[in-house]
Amino acid sequence: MERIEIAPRQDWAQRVAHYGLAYHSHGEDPAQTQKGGGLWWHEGAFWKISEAEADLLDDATAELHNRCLDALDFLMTRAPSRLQSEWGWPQWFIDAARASWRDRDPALMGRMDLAFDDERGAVKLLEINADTPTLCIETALVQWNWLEDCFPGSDQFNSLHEKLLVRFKDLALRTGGAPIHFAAYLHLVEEALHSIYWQDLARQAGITAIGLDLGQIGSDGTQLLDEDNNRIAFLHKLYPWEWAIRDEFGPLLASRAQGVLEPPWKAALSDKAILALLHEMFPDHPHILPAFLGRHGEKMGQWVEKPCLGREGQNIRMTQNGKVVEATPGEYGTAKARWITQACTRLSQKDGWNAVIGSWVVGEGETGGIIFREARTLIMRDGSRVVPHLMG
Amino acid sequence: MRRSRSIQITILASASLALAACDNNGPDPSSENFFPDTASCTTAFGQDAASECASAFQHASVEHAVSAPRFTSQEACREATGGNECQMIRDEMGRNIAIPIMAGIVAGAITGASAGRGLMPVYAGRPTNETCPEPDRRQGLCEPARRSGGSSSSYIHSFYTGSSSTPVGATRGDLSRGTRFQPTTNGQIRLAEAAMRPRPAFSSVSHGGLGATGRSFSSSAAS
Repeated sequence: MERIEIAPRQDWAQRVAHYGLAYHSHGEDPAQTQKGGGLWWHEGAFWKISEAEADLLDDATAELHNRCLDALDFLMTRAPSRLQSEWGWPQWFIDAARASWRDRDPALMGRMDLAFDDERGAVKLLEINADTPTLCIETALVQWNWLEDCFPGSDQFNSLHEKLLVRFKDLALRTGGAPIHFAAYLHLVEEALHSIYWQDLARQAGITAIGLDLGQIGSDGTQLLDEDNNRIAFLHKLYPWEWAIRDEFGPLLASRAQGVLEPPWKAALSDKAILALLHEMFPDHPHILPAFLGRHGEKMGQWVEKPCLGREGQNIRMTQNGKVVEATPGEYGTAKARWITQACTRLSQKDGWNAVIGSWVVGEGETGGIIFREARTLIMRDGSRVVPHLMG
Repeated sequence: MRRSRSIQITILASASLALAACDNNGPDPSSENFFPDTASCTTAFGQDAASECASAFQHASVEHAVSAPRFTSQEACREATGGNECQMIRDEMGRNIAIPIMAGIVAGAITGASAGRGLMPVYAGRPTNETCPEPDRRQGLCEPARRSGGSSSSYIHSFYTGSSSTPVGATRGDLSRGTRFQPTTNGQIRLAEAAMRPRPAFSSVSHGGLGATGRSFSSSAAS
């Protein structure tokens, strides 16, 4: 694996905006940076992986997905009480998630964040964004177009757009001609544009896609309704289950009144408590790090404490032999927060830049390729850059 | 081959375009940002902006010649975009090519520090059947454009707009106060004020039951 610096395309800002990435620089002027190339989407550098490395990442993702399904099946069918004691779920949501698992409610997609120590060939799972993953526009469209423009003969481990389109065509067969509603916070740029991208794909798959703001969803007590008071038969929500179950319509959303993407069973995967269960079930697995419920950073060794429901790299604490090495602030480390402690692992490191690899799973378990994040720090934050890659 | 073979987007491009045209420094996004001619631009921005309007149209027409879809003949252009709104120009190699005429501009701001941001030409015509998404095709939205009342029809669409000149872009978070992405009935996306729809006074439908918990966090729902 290599990290190569390169001049950005001259009109890169227009190019990426054309593919939906209007938020390429956090709203700041990218010309203010030394070499340009974007502050969020950064094409002043790219990562180059070999075909063998792509194979390794591909296989690890598929393998991890299968182990996640094993862990889910164990939870849902044999140990549902742990969803109460370790996940903190109310009984009604446990019942809903189990029903959704039993009925094999279809999923759309998820993103695993992987640490890849290319010197040792070790791939380790850091966490799973199974419920509300973004970085889709960046992966499927923008880095694809970057490759077309800059290295048209080259390959990239990235079939996300194609795989999603196929998945929506599968879903079209299940909806029986009914529309899918897509709800998100439409005042938030990144989230609204992602929701619109999925609507775009759904339409290309022949589905009638109706976008609406989360707050505009109505209810008559037995079903969810759109702005025209039409029944919502299928809902895609860019809004995590852990928040939805605290909302007034949470029980109705989790009921069988409509199909929901992602389905309730996905909520068990997007909680970092799953990382401790994966380690318990597969203690010697090459891609699964030791992880335990609670905060144990005072122990000897190198550890990372994370809130089970944290986001954007907030409230992370890395320790070495009990001393804090790196820590981030945030709003997820409340008194009520549940935590996990995960063994620290090596990231890819080149020229002082650390990389985390987001690896996509679509539908029943198809791998969809990867996207790189990079930062000088060891903890990826909401401001960490997104960079393209190629295979060569 | 591990990458997607081809990629097509439609409404996502229109949403991104709407954002570029209505950035945070621009005029009230609920107002029209499309101007068919300099006169309508001057009406919108005032007599003081007359020269800026003229120069915006000049810039857009240069951009238009570069970024408009190109065809080998007038017939091919008309066939693809509908109507009679095509013109012949010479390309960089000196060859004669046909492009749709410019039906106007989309402009976020004409004067001030953000002048020129989000400025783009709008082409006359409609998407071709080949590039038309299935639901649009079913609704007949991609049929050749009809002329009504002598005015050119324009279609704000990924294939029918030039590129924006905005270098800065949006933040990942909040749009300017009170604005949000608004789906329109023809399947496109625009920015509009988040107005509540009028509802019957004695409706048995309740609202606001989703989204409340997320609002207590400042970071986004996605991870």
